[in-house]
Amino acid sequence: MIPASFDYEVAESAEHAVSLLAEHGDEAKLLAGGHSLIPMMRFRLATPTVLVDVGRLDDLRYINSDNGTVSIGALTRHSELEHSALLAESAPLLASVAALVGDPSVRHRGTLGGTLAHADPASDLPAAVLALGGTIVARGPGGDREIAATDFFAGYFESALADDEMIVEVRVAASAGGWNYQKFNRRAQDWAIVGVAVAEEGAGVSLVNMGSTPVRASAVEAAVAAGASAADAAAVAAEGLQPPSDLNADADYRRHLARVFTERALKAAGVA
Amino acid sequence: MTPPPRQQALTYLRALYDPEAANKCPQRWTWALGRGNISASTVHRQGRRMESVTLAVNGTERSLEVEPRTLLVHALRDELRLTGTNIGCDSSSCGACTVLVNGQSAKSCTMFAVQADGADITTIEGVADADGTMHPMQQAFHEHHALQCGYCTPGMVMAAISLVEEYPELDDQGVRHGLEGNLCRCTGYQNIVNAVLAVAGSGSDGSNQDRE
Repeated sequence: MIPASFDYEVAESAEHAVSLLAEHGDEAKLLAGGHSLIPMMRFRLATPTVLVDVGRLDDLRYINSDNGTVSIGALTRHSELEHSALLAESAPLLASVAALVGDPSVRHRGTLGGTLAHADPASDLPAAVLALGGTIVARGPGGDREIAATDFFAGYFESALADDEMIVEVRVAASAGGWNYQKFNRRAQDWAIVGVAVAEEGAGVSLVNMGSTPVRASAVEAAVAAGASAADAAAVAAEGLQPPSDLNADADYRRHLARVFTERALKAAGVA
Repeated sequence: MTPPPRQQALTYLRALYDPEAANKCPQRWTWALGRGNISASTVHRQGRRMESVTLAVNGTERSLEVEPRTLLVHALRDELRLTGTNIGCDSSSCGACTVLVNGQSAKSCTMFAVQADGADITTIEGVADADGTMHPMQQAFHEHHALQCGYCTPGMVMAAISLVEEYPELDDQGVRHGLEGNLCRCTGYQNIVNAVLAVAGSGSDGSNQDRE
C-alpha cells in the first residue's frame, strides 16, 4: 500500500532536525533507515504528516573507542556495526547482534539510533545495549542529555525521548568479558520470538520480546551475582515478567523459552 | 490477560500487518499508529509539495519530480520505466525489489525516492555490459539454472552481487543466511545457492548436506 502523504524535510544537522521536530510537534517523525517506519507507514499504522530525514547526517556515523568507552553515532548502520573491527574488539556483543538483524539489505539501511528510538521489544539491538548497561545521548532544544538504557524504554514503541529530541550517540563500556546472544525464531530474517543477551562485564542479562520493552532479567543477574549455576540462574529468567501471547508463542511458552535460552547464553558467555 | 491494544496491533503487524488491529488502539496511540483522523488528514494533505530528485540510475543521471511518499521502486518502475525490478510482498520481506543503492543491496519498496536523491542506483537492467555480455552473477544464474518462474530473479541477482562483495569468504551457509531476505516461492533455492557459490569462488559444490 502507498503511505499517506507527508511533507519531507532534509535535516542539515542534528540541531536542525531537533528544531524541525519542535516546529512540527508530534505530527513529525524522524526518518533514518526507515526499515521500521516505512513498513508501518505503508500499512497506514503510522501516518506522520512531516518526515524529517536524518539519514544524510554522515557526521553521526562513527564508532570510536576512548578511555574504555565505545561511542557510536546514532546514524551508524547495522552493517557498519557488523563489520567494524573496532567493535569486534571492544564491544563484540553489539557487532554480533547487529549481524543477526533482518538480512543484509535491511542491515545496509537500518541504524542503531533508529532501532533504539523505535523501541520495539522484539528488536535485537536494544536488548544488547541494555545488557551492556549502555547510555543513550539525546539532543533536544536545550542541548544533550544522557539517558541510561535501563531508563530509556517506556513501553511498546515508547521511549524516554521527548517529541523534540533525537538520539545522537550510544555509549557502552568497552569490555573484554564473555558475552552471548541467543535468538529464537522460526523464520529466517524474522523478529526474535524470545532472545537473550548476556554481557559478563556488569553481569547484564536482558530479554527480547518478554514484555512491553526489552527488559533486564534482574532475578537472573542477582542469582549469577550470588554464585548460582547457569541452570539455577536461568530458572528465574521469567520471574516478574508478563510476556505477550501471539501467533508464534503464548506467554507460558515464552517463559519456557526464556529459561532455556538464558541457560544457554549464560553458559556460552562463561558467566555461570 | 488481554494484551494491550498496541501489542495486539504489533502482533498483527508481524502476522502480515492486519490494519484492523490498529483500529482498536486507544486515542493516545493515534500518533504512532495513525488512527482516528485519517479522513481529515487525507483532505488536509491534498496540497503536499512535490520534491525534485536526481538519481544516477545505471550510470545515467535521471531527474524527476515525485511526491515525498513515492517509493523508490515505484519511481523506478512507473516514472523511469525500469520494470525489471519487481514488487513482491510490499512489506520488505521478499526482496523481489532489491536494487543497489551506492553499491549496497537495498529493498526499493522500503525506501522513499527522496531518500535516494543524489545516490547511485543500479537495477537489473544495469548489470550487463553494453554489448549484452551478462554480469558474472547473471551468467552463473544462467549456467546453474538458478530460476524457475523468474519472478524473484532480478532481486536475487542484485542481492547476490552485493552479498559476494560484502562477504568475501562465503560458504554454503553464508549464502543461505545472506539471501534470507530474498524469497523464491518456487523454492528453487538449491540452484540459486550453487550459482552464488560459483561466483563467490568458495570451492564448495553447494550441496546442502550440511544444512542444519
